[in-house]
Amino acid sequence: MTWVNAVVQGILLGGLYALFACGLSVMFGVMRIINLAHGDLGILAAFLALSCTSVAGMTPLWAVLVVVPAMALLGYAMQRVLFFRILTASPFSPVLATFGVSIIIQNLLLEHYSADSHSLDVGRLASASLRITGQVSVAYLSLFSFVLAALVLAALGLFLTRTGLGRMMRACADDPEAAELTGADSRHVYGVATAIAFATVALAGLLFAMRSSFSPAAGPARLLFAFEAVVIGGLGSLWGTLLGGIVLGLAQTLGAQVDPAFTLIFGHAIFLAVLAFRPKGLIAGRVT
Amino acid sequence: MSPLLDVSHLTVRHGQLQAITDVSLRVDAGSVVAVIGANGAGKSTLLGAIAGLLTPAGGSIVFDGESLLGQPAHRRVARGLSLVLEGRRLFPSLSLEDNLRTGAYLGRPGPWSLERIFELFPWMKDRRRQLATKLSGGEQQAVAIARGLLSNPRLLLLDEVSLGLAPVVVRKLYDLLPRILSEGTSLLLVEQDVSQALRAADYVVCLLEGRVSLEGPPVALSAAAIEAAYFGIHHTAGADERGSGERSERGPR
Repeated sequence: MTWVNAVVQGILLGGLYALFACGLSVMFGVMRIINLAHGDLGILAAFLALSCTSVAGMTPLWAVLVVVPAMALLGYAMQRVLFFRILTASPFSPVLATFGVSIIIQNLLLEHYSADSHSLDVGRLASASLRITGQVSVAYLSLFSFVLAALVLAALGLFLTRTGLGRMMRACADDPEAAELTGADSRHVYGVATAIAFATVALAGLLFAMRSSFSPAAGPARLLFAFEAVVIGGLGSLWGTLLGGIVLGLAQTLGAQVDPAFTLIFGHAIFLAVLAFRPKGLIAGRVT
Repeated sequence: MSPLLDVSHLTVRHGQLQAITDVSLRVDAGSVVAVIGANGAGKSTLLGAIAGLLTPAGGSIVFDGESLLGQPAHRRVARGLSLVLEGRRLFPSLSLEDNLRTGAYLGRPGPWSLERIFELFPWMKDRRRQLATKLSGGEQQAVAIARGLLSNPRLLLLDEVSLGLAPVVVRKLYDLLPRILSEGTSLLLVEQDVSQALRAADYVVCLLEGRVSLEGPPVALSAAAIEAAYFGIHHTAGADERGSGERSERGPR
């Protein structure tokens, strides 16, 4: 029964990983930017929410409603001011630039919040759970983050296929020059794509901060899990990303069931196995 | 009446190479102008500069009375200028219909709508969910032209419509041009197939090594004059001159 519990927890954890990963996937799919600051942005959002609740006295829900749009705006601005200038320079400049952003965010957080671990207090919701059978119980927060992740991915999928701007985003991913000639302002399209990436990673960071403690150095591990989820699922497929997140979450919780020390190793092992035997991922999708 | 498009003394460089030099050309509303020339003569460069993909080193481009210089490509689409790139350049991961819809992204008002396109090409409606890459070359070219039309341009630039297509397919595509004209869209086309260009155009401009070597209405141009202007064969021409032409030759992109 504890194994069943591990499977359930793994699947729910996978939802959160997928939410972390989808923004990484969008930025790479549309602009070919590998955003090394992705995890740190999620942690930045968590700290911003911490300030909102502890300093400004907001409820956690209000903090989410303030921080997520603020991060989207930050994404749009960073794309227009920073990323767009370096996109054409060389394939490595975005990697270097986002690596720099990652270091800046980590150090600013360290400076302002110290290296202590924090957590975002959501009151009773943090511990409330739904008991299904004797040994299988599901925390409402896990369930909630899984459902939210699935909803966000579905909404993103609809946006990309059903709206003019979403369609143009896919067109820009295919052929930026031809997209520009059909009337796309690539700076705007890329700005919106980055805003989406920042908003989703902010949401993921907030959910993460509600479930576990976080510190300024927690970003790179989030990036790694997000990256693994994208690669396992298959680059460019949103449902693949959800599947990749679930597979990674399952591997980690099942590993922990064998021995808590195996948690991360199992996750990395699955990732390497997919890279070795199915390099295109479980669902080989089209690029975004 | 002032022309719809007035390009004068245009010079464009690709790095060190002077791709076109001092080219002037005008397109009146309601007319079809064809630019002909050998591979590497600078035809695609000319269209790229007009559409905003390349920044000219000198000269002016005036569209509908306003200068286009300094305006990004997407702004020129909004002004009513649409370029159908050489090699179709459909979006491979988008369906046929989504490819068409990108053309209507800006929502410029005008005669062309998805319904009108489906009326003109009934087969597109039946296959609208297929990926663009699953279509034949001729079908892809038709979709590319339709995508360009959906931005409701006042001037449609067509780059090498006939490239890689069977003559019968090319003829079908060219048969569309009067229909496009009748809806109020003027045409500037670049074509390697000289006979096709002469049949379709009201006015022909021949480029040779980036310069205008001959121009005039098709009836006024003799076959010999076109051949000389196209290949750069003067009565003094020798192997050396041909050789230098080959060296400056470059792919359009």
